[in-house]
Amino acid sequence: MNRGLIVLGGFVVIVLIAVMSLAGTYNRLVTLDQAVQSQWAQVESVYQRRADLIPNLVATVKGAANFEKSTYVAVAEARSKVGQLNLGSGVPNDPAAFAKFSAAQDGLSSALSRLLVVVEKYPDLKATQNFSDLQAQLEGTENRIAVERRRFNEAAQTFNTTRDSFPTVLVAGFFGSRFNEKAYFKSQAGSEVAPQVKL
Amino acid sequence: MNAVRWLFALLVLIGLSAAANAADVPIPPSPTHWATDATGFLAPQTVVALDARLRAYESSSGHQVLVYVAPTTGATPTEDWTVRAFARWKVGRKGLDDGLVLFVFPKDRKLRIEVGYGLEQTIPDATAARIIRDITPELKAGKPDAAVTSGIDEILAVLAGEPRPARDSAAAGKNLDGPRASSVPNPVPVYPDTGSSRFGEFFGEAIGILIGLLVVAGIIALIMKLPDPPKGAYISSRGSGFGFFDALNLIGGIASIAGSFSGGGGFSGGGGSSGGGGASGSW
Amino acid sequence: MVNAHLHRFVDKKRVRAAIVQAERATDAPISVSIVPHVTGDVHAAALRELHRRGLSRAPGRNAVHFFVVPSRREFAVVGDAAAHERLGQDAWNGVAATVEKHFRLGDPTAGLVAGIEEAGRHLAVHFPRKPSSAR
Repeated sequence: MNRGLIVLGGFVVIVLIAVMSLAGTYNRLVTLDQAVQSQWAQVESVYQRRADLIPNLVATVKGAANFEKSTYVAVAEARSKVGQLNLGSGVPNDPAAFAKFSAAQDGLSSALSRLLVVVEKYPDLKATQNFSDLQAQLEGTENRIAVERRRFNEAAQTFNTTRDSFPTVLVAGFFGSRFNEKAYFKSQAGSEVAPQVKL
Repeated sequence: MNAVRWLFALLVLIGLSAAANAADVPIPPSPTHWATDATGFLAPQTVVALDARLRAYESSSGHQVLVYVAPTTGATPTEDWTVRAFARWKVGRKGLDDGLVLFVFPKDRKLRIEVGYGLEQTIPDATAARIIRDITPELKAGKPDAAVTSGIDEILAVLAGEPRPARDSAAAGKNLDGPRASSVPNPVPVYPDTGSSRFGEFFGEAIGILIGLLVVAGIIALIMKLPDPPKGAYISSRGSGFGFFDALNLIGGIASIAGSFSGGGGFSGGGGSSGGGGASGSW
Repeated sequence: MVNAHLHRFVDKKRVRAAIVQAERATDAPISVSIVPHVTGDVHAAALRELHRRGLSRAPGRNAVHFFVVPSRREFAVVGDAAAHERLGQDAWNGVAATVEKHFRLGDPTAGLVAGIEEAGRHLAVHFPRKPSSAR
């Protein structure tokens, strides 16, 4: 048996194994990335649901006599900022876009919570069927947002852990931004402090 | 002897820290009845009646409605605990997610209706909130059996499609939760739990490390220019043998230590899943 | 099995028995190797083999090695430093002649056996086995 032939054969076998291993790693990354993308779709969906509640809320509050205009105007503005976001489809992969999205949504969250605190001063408004339904819907939506954000963070963590481990990390970098590290939702700075309303 | 003492101390420490973490009430396993109350909050006959009623309801309609009474959710917020419990118990039918649980936590004085994805259109958040508002006064008055029973009455009535009396007629009409619920896509598994991907992980890791080691060994061999191993037959008083170095043994040894098995993901999405819909209240 | 023909070249059992018999009278290690191919000088290769096998580490520096290359129809008999010094070139020539005679007749086993016996007799004279040395 020619020794050269054996060496060549061995080399071919090693290359084959390397290629198969590469394919396995790539497929694994694709699967985990898909999980993150589909969970992102859930997140966008519940945020959209919240945005859709805003017009009705603003209209209801406007109707109440002497309600502080600045509060609901702030909410309407924050909502249009969210509506203007046109970030395309690759948001989980793009840290800058993700940060923009997160910031806009957090802005709306702040405006909303300030509004709801002000409503406490208008017990007549608060007692109406319309408003209490809206409030229930808002609370339900905020809960849903929290749940989907948590699930997104979990999916992102699974992806990131696999992606950053060795030797997968070498493969991931090779494919460009598609397998970027995913960002996480962070709790809003200052959300632990309830907004103070000047009486 | 000293080592045993250290081990004992370590075990005690672990046990204590585990006890400290018990402030977080873990999610219990799936209940075995339609109405569960280990706290004695409800009278036993109420529990039995509700259990029978909800069982009959499920066999006639297919929807799984449960009543669950637990003392407290501990340090976890109520909504967090209930959505996790709902997901873990997989309430409702797979694919339809038509489950609903009325949770009561007497020690926290909190209650919550957790609605599965599939029932969100029938019982939107506003309706659930109204039901909670309706039964809270009875809870406050110290009549838990009446409260829970009438709560179930209302829930089943709404599910059956009977119109609920609206206190303020201005509320009728605009129901944002109705059409919106359909825009929430069916929950998809967060961690696809396919066996082949797990095998692929293991295989990929093991082979990757193996190749690395082989390459390193090859480079070292080239550098050192190992002489040809002795070939042919060799006879001496100590016996005869092949006299060549069996490289395959070494590779076999490397393959057995290579590869780390990293565990796959969490739960699969089948069964019941709630996105956090429903309403909470306290008394 | 790789190079099976080399292992069938001689009857290893008989050869081994001859070695054991010869080593009873001497403390010099005797061994045989049959290799597929050698490039260059067979005698030099035999000496290299002596070192590679660790035979030159024998305490008396008196190892004797028979090195056979069937593909080239050549063989060599080599001895370590002390063995060569004591036995002298004539002894090697004699042993080689014995081996060659049998090889030419087509009986390599007999050739090796005879060569081992003859070498063993020489070694027994110069390097007798002391009764106390353990084996």
